[in-house]
Amino acid sequence: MAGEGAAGAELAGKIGGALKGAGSSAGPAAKAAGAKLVSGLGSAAGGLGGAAGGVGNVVGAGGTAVKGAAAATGWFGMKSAFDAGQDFGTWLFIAGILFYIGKVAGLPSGFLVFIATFLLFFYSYILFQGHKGGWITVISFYVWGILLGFKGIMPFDQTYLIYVASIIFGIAAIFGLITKGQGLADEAIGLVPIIVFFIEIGAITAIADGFFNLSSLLKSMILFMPWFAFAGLFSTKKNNIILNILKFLGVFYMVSILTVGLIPDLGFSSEIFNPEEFLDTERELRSGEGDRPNPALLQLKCTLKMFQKIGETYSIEQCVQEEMQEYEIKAKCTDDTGALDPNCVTSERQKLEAEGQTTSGTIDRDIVEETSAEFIIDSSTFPKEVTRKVGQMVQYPLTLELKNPHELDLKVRVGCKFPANSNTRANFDSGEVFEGVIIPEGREVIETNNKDEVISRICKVPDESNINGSSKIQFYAEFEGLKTESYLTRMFVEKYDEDNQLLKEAKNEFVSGSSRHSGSADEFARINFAFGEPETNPIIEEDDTVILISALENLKNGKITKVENYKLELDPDFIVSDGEYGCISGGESDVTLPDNMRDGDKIPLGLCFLEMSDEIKSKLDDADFLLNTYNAYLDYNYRIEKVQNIKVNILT
Amino acid sequence: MVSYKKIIKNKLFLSLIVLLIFLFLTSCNRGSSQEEVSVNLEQNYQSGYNGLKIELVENYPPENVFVNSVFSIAIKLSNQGAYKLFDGTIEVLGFDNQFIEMHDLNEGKRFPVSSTYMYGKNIENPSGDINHIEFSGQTKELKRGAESYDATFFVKAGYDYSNELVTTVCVNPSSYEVYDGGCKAQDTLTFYGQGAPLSITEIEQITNTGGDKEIRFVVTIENKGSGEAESITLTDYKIGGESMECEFRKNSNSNSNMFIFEEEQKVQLVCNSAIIASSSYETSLHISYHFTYSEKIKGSFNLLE
Repeated sequence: MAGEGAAGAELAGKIGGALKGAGSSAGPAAKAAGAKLVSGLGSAAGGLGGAAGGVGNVVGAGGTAVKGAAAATGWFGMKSAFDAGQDFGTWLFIAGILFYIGKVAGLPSGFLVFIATFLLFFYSYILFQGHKGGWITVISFYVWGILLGFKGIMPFDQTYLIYVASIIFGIAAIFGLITKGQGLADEAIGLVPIIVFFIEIGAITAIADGFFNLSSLLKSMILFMPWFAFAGLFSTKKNNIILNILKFLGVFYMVSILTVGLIPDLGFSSEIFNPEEFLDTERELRSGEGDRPNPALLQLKCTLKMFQKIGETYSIEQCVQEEMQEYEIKAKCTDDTGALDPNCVTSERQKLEAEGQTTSGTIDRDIVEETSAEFIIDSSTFPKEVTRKVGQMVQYPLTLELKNPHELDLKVRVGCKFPANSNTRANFDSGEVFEGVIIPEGREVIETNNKDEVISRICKVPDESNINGSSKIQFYAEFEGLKTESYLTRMFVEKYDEDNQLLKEAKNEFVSGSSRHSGSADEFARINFAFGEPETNPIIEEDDTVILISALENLKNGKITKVENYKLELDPDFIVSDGEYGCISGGESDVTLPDNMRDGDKIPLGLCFLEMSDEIKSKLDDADFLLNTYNAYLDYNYRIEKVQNIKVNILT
Repeated sequence: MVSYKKIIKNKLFLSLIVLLIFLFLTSCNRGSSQEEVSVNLEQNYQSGYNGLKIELVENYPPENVFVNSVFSIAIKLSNQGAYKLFDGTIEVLGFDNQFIEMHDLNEGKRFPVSSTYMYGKNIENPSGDINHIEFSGQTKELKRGAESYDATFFVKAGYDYSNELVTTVCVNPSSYEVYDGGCKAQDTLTFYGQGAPLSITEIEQITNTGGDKEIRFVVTIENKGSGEAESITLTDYKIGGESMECEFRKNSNSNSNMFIFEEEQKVQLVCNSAIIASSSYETSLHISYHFTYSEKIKGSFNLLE
């Protein structure tokens, strides 16, 4: 146990050494910084490196703690407690726990910030013994964050941020120069208490939420960790039984939080049951939709090819893309015997060429209510493995959760299938399959317009399937009546001039970034469309030759089974001047759906030229610019599937 | 005993901390160059770079507006400069027709309302004339499945304004005269605004002491406001009550009294005048002009379901 503690300390030292080597040129100062940073990070309980070092320490501490647990009572325990109380780290730990309790209990925010400020400076005092430079960092960020409210971040003000950065780095540099480099390391250490402070007061959450969605792991770390308490615990200089027990409990708590935080990210996959199934799942991921080559090897191959193409126009990126496509085509068109079907290869290459005439789309983050459906498999109740006598029924629960916030009139047909061949690489689209029996019989089709619908059925294995051993079940649901809308924004000007500040500002405000492409809710499929000169240019000038490209895109891993109709609403601003009229509306006969559809597959709908109406031109005479968003509507049917591993043991 | 070196180091360290806080706190007061110019309005209104100030009246529009409802945008216009404003047009731009439709016509609204001019700041009217203009619009539906929409818009005002500089210059026909009991000519005069956003910032004085004695003024006119200058037209350019010959540098306009601004919001005016006197003397220099200017502000509200 003591040996493990030593191993843990050694690990922490190694991490510190690694940090030291990772790009520091200040020699001894960096060495101190690396070691101190690791212990500082460990004391803040942030980062896996710190946690790993901490775990190593705690395993040793745990051993000591177990041995000394009995001795923690009585006089020896009291002595340890008194001893601990002499250490500032202990006081910080206690204060941190009380602060966390106060936070959870909902004490007034102003009071909490006041206490957090006190804890920040207290922690800084503990950490900066002999390293005064850290105060510069702490004060800088405290003033900027609390007194000035992170001015410059939201709303983003580049000039101000440069001003702030110049001040901080300027003062830091002066101090660093005066102290001949030693101060720089101290200033870096100053980041540790400031990060702990801002995590504790939720500032990190508030800022991050404004820019991106926090993963559940990060949220767990922010919400459930008493950071000041950890900081205090791992800052203690004393080494006695009570502190070691607390450290052990602290790391145990930290690991629990990290694990719980990780699980929502991984998902409670019903397919992960045992080591064999781990490997099975990985194998399926590798081979599920065609073998994918090792990207690193492809990169190397294309880089070497570059030397053969000297003097010619060549792009490594394009080469990698083409090689990937070739691999995918070969994998798709190779049968179980290993023979390559040339007709399949030709058809796939034609499909790829057609995809070049399509356009992309984006997910519109303004849209928060979307139609979705998912098969739910509860790992605790789903009969992954059953044992039956010959002739006995084998049944599986089918649960489909449907979210229909727009109350569409949907018709849903559910079903299940079993492969005839229990090969783990079974493809339900080809090869012999047996259709399961849905119970109650005759209740496979559900008509609903409810916002939330849970469809529960039982899938009975057909007698003729003779399943015995490992196999699979495929649940499927076919939806009729789905509708998805897409939106595209365009800015109209007489003539765009980059020197015109108003137009430049309007462009940055209204049509920058994702406005090049249309956007939609994250549903099953959508229309992608774009028009302009070129089509992805969001600014349309009065005399532009406007081209429109539209495509159908599969957004999920299911299949579009039918396109009822689609329509792009461009009137009264535009009419089709030349090209296929199918580019703005059509029905089932205008769209050829492939047999095998994958997530991301695009089907071109149309390519045509548009003419701007006189109405919009006359509006432009009076306005500096105009802004308009155009809609596209897709009515379609869709099929989703979910495959689950099963095992049936038939007793003879 | 604490070493002398350590005392110095500690003091230095403390000084750095204080300097840091001080520098940060002063950033609270960073503002545009207009606000940094100290203006004693009671003594001289014709200074600084202020012009028309545009503000949105609070709650017009409110922070949140619901779909399928009517809303108003009220704008307060105040002439913070020193001159009359006329021929103004104000418009609201940037609403996506899919979500918001304005009731008013696209070409905007005229101002001043109910008078020809909006007067600037003066002794009798230290806050300058104020006008209020209102626009109204109708909100439509959001995208299907969306709960809100950030409706950002611009308010743009274009107007005609003036500027005038009257200053005393020293004309010295002979710079090499050893003894001259008159004034001392200055090569460059610097100015901090005359109460308009497009102001004279510098006058360079060049004296040609050759055969035909002549004085030349290179007048720099710069846009120091937050808007954009579109064009400038000279109205008066005199020295000692006598007209000068003036023209804009790099002027492609056929009318030499007029200059149209493009990318650069700065122009130089070159004025020449003959010198009659033989010794130095002080005299008044008067330059005035009209210009067309535009300002804009940004506003927004949340369109909610």
